[in-house]
Amino acid sequence: MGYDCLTTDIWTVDDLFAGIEALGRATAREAQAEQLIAGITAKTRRLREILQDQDRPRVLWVVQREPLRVAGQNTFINELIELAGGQNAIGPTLHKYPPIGAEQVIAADVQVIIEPTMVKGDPSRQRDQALAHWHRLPTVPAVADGRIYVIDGDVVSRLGPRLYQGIETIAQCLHPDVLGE
Amino acid sequence: MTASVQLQDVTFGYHAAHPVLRQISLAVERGTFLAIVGPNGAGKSTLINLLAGVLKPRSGTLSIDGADIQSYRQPELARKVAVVRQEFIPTFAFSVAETVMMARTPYFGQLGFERQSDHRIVTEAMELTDTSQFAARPLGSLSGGERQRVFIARALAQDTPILLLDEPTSFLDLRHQVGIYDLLKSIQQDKGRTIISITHDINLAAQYCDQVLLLLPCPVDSSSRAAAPGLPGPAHYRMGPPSEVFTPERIREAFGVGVFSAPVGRETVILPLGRLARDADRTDPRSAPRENKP
Amino acid sequence: MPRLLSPKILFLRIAAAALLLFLTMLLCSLVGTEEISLRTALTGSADALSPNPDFEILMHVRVPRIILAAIVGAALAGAGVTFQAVLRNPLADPYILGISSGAGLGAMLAVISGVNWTLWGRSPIAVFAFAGALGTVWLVWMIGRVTGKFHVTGLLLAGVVVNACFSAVIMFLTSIAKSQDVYATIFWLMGNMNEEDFFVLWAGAGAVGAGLVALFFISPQLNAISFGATDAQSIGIDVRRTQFLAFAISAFITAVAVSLSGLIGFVGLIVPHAVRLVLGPDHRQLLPLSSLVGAMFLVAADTVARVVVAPAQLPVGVITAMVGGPFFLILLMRYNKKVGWLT
Repeated sequence: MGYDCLTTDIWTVDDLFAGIEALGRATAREAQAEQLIAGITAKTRRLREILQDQDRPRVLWVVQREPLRVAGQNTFINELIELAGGQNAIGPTLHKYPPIGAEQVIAADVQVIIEPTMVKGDPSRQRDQALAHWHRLPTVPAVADGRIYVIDGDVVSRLGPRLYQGIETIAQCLHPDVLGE
Repeated sequence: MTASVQLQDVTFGYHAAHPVLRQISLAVERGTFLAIVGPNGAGKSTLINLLAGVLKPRSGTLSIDGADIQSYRQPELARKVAVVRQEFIPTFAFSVAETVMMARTPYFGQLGFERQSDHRIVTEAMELTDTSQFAARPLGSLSGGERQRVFIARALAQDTPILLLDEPTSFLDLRHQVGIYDLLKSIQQDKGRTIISITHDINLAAQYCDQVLLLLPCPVDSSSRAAAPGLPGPAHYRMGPPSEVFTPERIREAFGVGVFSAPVGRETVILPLGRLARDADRTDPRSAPRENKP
Repeated sequence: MPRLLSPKILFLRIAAAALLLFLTMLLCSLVGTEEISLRTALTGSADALSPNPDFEILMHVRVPRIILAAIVGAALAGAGVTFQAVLRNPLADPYILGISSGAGLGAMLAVISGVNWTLWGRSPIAVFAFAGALGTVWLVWMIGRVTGKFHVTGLLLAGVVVNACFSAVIMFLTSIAKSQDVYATIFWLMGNMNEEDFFVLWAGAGAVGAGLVALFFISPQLNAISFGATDAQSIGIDVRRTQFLAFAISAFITAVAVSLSGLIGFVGLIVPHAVRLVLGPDHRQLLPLSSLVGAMFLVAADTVARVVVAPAQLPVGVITAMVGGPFFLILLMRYNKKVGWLT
């Protein structure tokens, strides 16, 4: 049909930046693209400085509760967690979003549990359900300390321009004492 | 003495417009050995299924031991009537003993296991039918004739006053054919049971059976109305002792074959003869096709 | 009288199988991705301040899961035996009358609609899947009855039709749903063993146990019905009642199993076959023993699923298929001579 098509394959944060650049070139908005990338990069660098001396809590990112499926190390979510000053509680797996058992959760000594909102609606309702679900494993540090968070799924469900918003939200869950809730 | 089986004006058809059995009225006395004969499609198996309670008559009444068959609940009817149909191989590999014992299922105890009396009855049934030797073998490993005997044993194990059989000797060799007829006759005589059996063997029927029911296919045209009650049966069936029913004319009418007939012992032997049979020239003229009459 | 089952032999066999099941469960509770020591678990500290992870893993994770696997395995195998008898079809499995597509549709609706409430602690997916499974069987039964009194063919055809319709609806929903919802539904349906509360385990065990006991009491009738409906009727069996009870109870325990752990295939098809090959088709024996063997099989399969790609887990349905297939082939070859009708 004669239209130019631009396709982007975005799996990692680097891919995201490359994609923004490509988009900028294609729409002759290179300056805005550069600005966007620079903004995100600067904010993440500042965040890293703030959290420099903090421990990296072990995070379980719950994609589905029944059966229990979590984000593995081979996902962009993993990158977000690391940029936010945390580490994935689960070791390397074959799957990107592996189903795991409670046994692994206990063994992994999870310190923080994060669930993105799965449905439109009240996140507090989901949190109540999450708490009810997780109370079954009271020895897990995240459960014992009540560090179960439900965050807006929209900002973390894909890599996009609002990247920093997602990272910031996660970081607030991981380091509330430093960053505030 | 009330008849064991009684039909009063029974009509049945799988479709309302085409009756297979039309206004049949007959009575089978207790302790009778009745043979049902007739060409294919005459409704013999249909009649057996009516007597077994599997089919319901469209009109008329059918009584078993004096009571309307519809008034029986299935388990009660099974205590009066046992059926032997064509042999078959069931889906799962049950043994002969298990198959025969199945007839006693309504009598099992609370936990679903057989009692001593059931064992006794089953053992006896298997001995009578010469199937004890197969007791442990799966049904599928027997020959058709052997399986037939097992199903007869199962019906015997049901221990009912009335026994219905649909061509019980069709797959049996001569020895076992005679054996089964002897068995059925002895059951009739020693235990007073009523036996109703479909057969294609006219001569054995003549030797063993007290009564014969000759069924003809129901005439299709409805203009041939049934004869008024009181007259000797409409054209559709005939019932009587073998000597009355197995006449050359009747055979001709029913089966469309010529026969050679000769008295042998107390009965007449009927031998069907076709055009190319060796003794075709000795066909009984009474059974010859009318068109070829000189 | 040779080769007939007696109460004593049956009791001994059931006891032996039950013992074997118990040992299997015990052994499997000691297997897992994390090393735990039985001694530490049983004798270590038990108060909240110094938690005992070995005990936690053993009692709160593994044991409930193993019990669940046993319940589901027993339910599926028992339902499989019954459906094969009533449908006179050795290829029948518990899902044959549309339960799989009914449960699938229920699960999909639950996920897509975003319904959030729970019933007795069961997630919406489980509740909807249960309702879908039972509703489908009822629908198939109603349609099948139209074709005639006892006709098994009618039921099978109704099952095929309903399956096709529901599958079409599922395909449509898949096309309009968010991909994460589709993934979530699929993973749930693929079979999963969660660590449930003891309340759920008790209720599940009670429901399935009661169903299996009831089925045992109609086993002699199932024997007769497997010869054919007319044949069974002539012997004096109440065919209508037996068929209805068999379907209703089997459908119920299958629906319970599906709501507990998704659609796990193979158990309901293969275990009855294997047990029948070894012990014969008498349902008074086949039913209880298949249930126990089904429980053992699923416990073992789930153990493998838990361990083989650690720290991730495989859906247990993958293991049942991969293990069940070859095992059954071997069994078939060895006992072929016993079953005349197969040659």
